[in-house]
Amino acid sequence: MTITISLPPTPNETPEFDADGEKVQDAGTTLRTSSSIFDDHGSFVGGKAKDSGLLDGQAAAAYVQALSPIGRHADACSLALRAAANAVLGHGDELVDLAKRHQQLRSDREHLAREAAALASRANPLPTDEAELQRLKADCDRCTSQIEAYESDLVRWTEDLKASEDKVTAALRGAMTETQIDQTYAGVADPADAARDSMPSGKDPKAVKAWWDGLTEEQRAALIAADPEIVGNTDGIPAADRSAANTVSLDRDLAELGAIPEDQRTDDEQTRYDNAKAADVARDKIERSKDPMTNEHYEAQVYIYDPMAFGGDGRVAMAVGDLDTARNVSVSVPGLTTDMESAQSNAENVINLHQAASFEGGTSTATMFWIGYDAPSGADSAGVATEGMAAAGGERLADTLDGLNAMRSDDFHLTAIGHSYGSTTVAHAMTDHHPGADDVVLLGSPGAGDDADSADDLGVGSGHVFVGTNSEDLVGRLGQTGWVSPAAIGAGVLTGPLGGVVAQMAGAGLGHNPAEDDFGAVRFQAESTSRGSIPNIDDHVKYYDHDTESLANMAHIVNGQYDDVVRAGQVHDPWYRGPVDPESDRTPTSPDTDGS
Amino acid sequence: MTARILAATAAALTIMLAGGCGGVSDQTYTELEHQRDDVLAWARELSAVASTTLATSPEDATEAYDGVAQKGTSDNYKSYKYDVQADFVTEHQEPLDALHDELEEFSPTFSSNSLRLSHGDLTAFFQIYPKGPGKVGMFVEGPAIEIDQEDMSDWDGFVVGEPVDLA
Repeated sequence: MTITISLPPTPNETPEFDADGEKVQDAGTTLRTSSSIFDDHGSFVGGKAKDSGLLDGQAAAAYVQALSPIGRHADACSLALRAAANAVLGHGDELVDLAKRHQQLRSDREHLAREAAALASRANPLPTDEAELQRLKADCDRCTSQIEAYESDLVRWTEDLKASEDKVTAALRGAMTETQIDQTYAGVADPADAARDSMPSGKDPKAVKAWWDGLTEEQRAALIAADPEIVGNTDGIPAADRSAANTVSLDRDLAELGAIPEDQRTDDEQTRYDNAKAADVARDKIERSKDPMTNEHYEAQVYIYDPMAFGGDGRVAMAVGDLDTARNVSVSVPGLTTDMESAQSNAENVINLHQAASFEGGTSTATMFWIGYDAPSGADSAGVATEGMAAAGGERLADTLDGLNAMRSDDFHLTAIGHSYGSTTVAHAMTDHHPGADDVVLLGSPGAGDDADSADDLGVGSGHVFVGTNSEDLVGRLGQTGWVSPAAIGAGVLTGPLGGVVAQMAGAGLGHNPAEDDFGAVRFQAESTSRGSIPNIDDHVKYYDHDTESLANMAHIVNGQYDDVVRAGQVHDPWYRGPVDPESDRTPTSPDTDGS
Repeated sequence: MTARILAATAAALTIMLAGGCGGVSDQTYTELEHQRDDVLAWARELSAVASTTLATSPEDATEAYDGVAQKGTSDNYKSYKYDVQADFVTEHQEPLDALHDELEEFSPTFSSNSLRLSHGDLTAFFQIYPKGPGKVGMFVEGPAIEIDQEDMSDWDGFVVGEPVDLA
């Protein structure tokens, strides 16, 4: 019997490929921002300035005659830049995909070349045993077949790369001169206009989602460039599209206002620029950070960007991870003194939480900080004394949580986390508006709001209301406890230098202390190894620090790993003395939360 | 009710005062620059050792001033540290063990997935990743320097995630 063995060929080399798709995406984003700037100029010259009422009669006619062409040209440039941006962004996406395929091809090629060489060795000299010859033949045929598949993939990859390059080249050649731009785009209706006109009038996020889904891809891209403030801040629109729009707004503010010398900026311009810079730093922090399990860079999603909200305090929300697809999503609400310039540290908090969630086994997570309400800060810090800002903030937070639920069609796990005054805000959102959160975490809480007498009132079930309070956290002692408050008993019952102050303040907080046994929430361990010996402020700002009990437990809650949450004894208030916190006698631990 | 509001306002004031005040001198900026120079110099030294030991070169090297401690209950930072991070892609099977042997002068200690080092008041660690085989991360940083967030943001030397040359 004759056995014919054909040795597999050496696979062709994978070509060098060092194109950086992400940088091309960045270039596309910059072009889209430029398009937005031209659109603003076109709208201003052609609309707002003309209709301001400052000019009438001959002056108005002269204005129209002189400036309308400029407005039309600016609009044409905007459309031309948008077309270029869309082409470059699409090319960037394709390059990112091509890079992944190239990496796989290179890996396949190395493996197949090694296997082909090994088979050549096995065939020289040829085995004498027939069974061994049959095995060698089968292995050679299999390897040849795999090499043919590799070669076929390589051809397809090369064709796709050329097609992508041809497409973007053709798009960019479409309008190279100003004359060509005017010939092609002047007077052309902006697809954003019709899309904007069809937007639902109310703020029902489900109606918004249905409207957004009904738009064409061209209309969505047009709206992102032409109306980034609307797209970026409307609940119900998917997070990726919101982020693309907010990136346009943020980058536009940085470019336009950064170009104005500091001493020539108006107060409003300076405020907007300061807030934009703060958001930019937060975005950079997120994008520089990495997953502790994979070492892959995080991506930031800018979910809200409204730098002039609340009299210049600003609104911003930013996520680590993909809010559209993550299995587990958390929203962290900060408290006292929070404004947009606090974005830096709030970004760090959600980076830490994401890293801890990943380290504890979470594989699909998005953690967002939400500076979306007018928290007590600056001149209005006295607002901490009342629940008004928390109640108003609770309504806004509920809108955001409803928006997240509306934009998702799947059953994801949503955790609302409030720190300090933010915990009162979260409690108000839950008790007053019942948004669809699965778990609630209250950190260093000065009180769960006057509307919540017990954990059940938050509407997620008392077993899903988690409380982290460091026993020496001064703010965590502000909530009302027991059948008679220390304030009624009088100062001096508590021990320690701050005891008198705390006694005066206790019962003057913002509702029930959620760490108390009467409230009925699940208290988790949240002590710090650097815990102070008396009630203090430093222990109020450690909950998101790496290697702390609170961060490890929050990560488990965000991951839905309830059995891994380490429970703590609740605060108890006996009739004969002030509240007793069993956690104050426990030696704190320092669990690893990021592997470093 | 009035008494409650007064007491709570007092609490708010206590909390606000605990935040302290800002203010910065040229000396602080000089200190920040010195720390950057010291950290960069050591990062380059460690990078050279890692490149030789792991038969590779640093990738994705970036520098930043990162916030450290916050002001009282404020979400704004009151101190910053300079740090450098970089990656090394290697086929070495036990990269941390190999680095440990080459970096004994910096008192290396193993901790979870990392190898920690110290050099005066500077610290560093090399880290491996359970789901990222073949990658070793390097982090080098200085101690916290007190500077208000606003002053830091206004400083020309403030960077977050800028590329840096470790050659």
